[in-house]
Amino acid sequence: MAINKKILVKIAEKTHPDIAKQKNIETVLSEIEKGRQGKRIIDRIMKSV
Amino acid sequence: MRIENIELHNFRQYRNLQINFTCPSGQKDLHIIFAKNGVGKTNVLNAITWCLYDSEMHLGDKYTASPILNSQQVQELREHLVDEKSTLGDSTVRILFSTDDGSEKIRFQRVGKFSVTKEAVIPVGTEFTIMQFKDGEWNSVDDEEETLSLVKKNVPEEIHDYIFFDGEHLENYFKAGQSSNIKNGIEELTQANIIEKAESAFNKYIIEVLNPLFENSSEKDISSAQKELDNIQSAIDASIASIETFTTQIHNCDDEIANLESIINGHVLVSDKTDRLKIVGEQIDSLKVAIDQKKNEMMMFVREYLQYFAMYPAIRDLYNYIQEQDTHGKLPPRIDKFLLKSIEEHKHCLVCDQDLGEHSLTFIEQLKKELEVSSDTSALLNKTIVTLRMYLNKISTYQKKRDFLMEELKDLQNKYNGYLEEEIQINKYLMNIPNTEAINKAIGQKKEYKSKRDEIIAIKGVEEVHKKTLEAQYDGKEKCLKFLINKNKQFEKINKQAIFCKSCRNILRETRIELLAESRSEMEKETFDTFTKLLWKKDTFSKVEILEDYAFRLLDMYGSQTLGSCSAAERALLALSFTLALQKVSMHDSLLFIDTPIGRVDEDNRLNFINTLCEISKTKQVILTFTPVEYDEKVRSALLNQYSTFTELIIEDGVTKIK
Repeated sequence: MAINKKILVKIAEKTHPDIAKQKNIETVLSEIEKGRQGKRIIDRIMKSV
Repeated sequence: MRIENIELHNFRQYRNLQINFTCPSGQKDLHIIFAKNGVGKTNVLNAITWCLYDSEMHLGDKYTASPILNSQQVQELREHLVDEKSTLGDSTVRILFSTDDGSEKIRFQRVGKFSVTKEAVIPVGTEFTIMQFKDGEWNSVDDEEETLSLVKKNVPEEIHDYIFFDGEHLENYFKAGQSSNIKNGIEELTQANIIEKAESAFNKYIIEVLNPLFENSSEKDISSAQKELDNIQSAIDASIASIETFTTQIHNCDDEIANLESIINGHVLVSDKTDRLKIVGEQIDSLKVAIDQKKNEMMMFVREYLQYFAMYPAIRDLYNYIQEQDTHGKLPPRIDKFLLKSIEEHKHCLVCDQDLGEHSLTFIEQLKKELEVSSDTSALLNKTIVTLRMYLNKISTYQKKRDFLMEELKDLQNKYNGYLEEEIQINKYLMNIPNTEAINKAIGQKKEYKSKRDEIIAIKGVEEVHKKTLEAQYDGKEKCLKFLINKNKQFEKINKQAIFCKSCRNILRETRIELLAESRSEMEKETFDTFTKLLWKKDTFSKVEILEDYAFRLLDMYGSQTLGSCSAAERALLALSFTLALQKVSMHDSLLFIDTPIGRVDEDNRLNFINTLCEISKTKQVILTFTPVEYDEKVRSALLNQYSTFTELIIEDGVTKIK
């Protein structure tokens, strides 16, 4: 099951124009939706911040 | 998605059974499962939830329930147990789902393995498999993650309450303390729970990973500022949690008050009436005494007058005689002895003003002696006539006195009858109330809840002020920390990460809050529209409200909460409307399986409810189960030509079969 389009649109609006942040948040959401641990994904993301 | 068929093998009372839910085009997707109690209707529902979620969600008591493995199968397996200590048996449930157009199909299968010994049946484990029909062929889904995802996509466990119902559940859906149902439903279907998890992951990262880097730094200023900030944040979190608890408590009080009002509804004056009944009872008792006293008084009056009346003719005649004699001057004259004595002494007549001679004086002396007797008689007669007149006067007042006493008695009796009538009316009123004691109790409890609610509102206000103060403190401290960190290049990267995480957390929080507010608002509108469209009673309700803590309100035309006073049928219909709205808003279109849908619905509303379900089955699959008692003549004729399949289940030799 994918993340609801409505949520993605809202996040895009709020992160605009920071595409990297938008993609990072989307990744966290999508991984959590698949049942994975949030901390590990954020750890990975933090390397690029 | 709709269910095409269910296969049950060795599952409880089912040995081998397949129930098909085919729907010829142009017909309503309505399906009836009809069976007596104990034949296994609810176990069809249990088989579905067991197959999909590995849990029988509609068991009466899961701790005392028999094993899933069919008892005959257990017996057969035990018969073949000779030397072996145990053998394996299995139960299987297969459910075939398909899209409305049939282009996509998905088959869920769960096989439960059981170790059967002579004494026990021990569950060993279950195997869950999914087959998917896509592009003209069946493929097995082996990846566990994909399997879970398919279940989640089609029939998510978190919202099974919105797909598979039992009749009783529908009625209780919006009762006090049930807001978690609504919360779970909305948060799950809008994916707000995923956002919340992401938000808390960022928050946790800030608290557990980044903040300790500042706290444990060698820079004392930064370390202590971060620690202080953390403490303030903990206090703010605690304050927010308290405010949320207070809000929930206030809404719980509201729900309880609404529920109590449904008990009290129409009987608000019961306590006043009971008090009045006491007063009326006392009045009746004292009036009874007063009436008896008045009656005694009348008896005495009558007795007294009886004597007068007995003597009346004699008194009247004597009085008239004396009067008559007096009129004719036949009574002895009334001579003034003192006048004569004075004339005699002065020897002068006071009448003719002449001096009296010896002769006249002798005459007066003689007259005095002669008239002594007649004068006494005259005095006696005078006395008699006064007494007689007194009696006659008394007799003449009889009617007036009698009327007065009668009037008083009548007045007392009228009052008595009035109170008696009032007592009958109050008793009649109280007799019509099912349980006066319960209503009085409810009135008392309502008062308690109201005062409890007021207390919580006051405490919540204080907490909100406290939270604002803490937030102001936090802002000040944060600025201070920022300043310190900016001065120190060593923290540049950590600071950047902290800012990034906080920004992500805040974006997610805002998104979640917005999403939930929008969903709640859409749900309110959609639920109300569906409810009023399906409701048989028009112009009764004005609005549905879902508050921030998911407390549910159904308002009447005057804006008052009416949920508590709704009938079971209306509450069940509201739950259905909410479900349909939730499925529509979240675009998660699912079937409805309702076990004994009208079990709790009163007879008057059963047909309305059935018609509503028929209406729903025009756009989605509806599977209903009935017992013979519910499926009476009226329901039978209402459903005639409406359903696509009718499956009657019977039990033979302990095994459920299709008749």
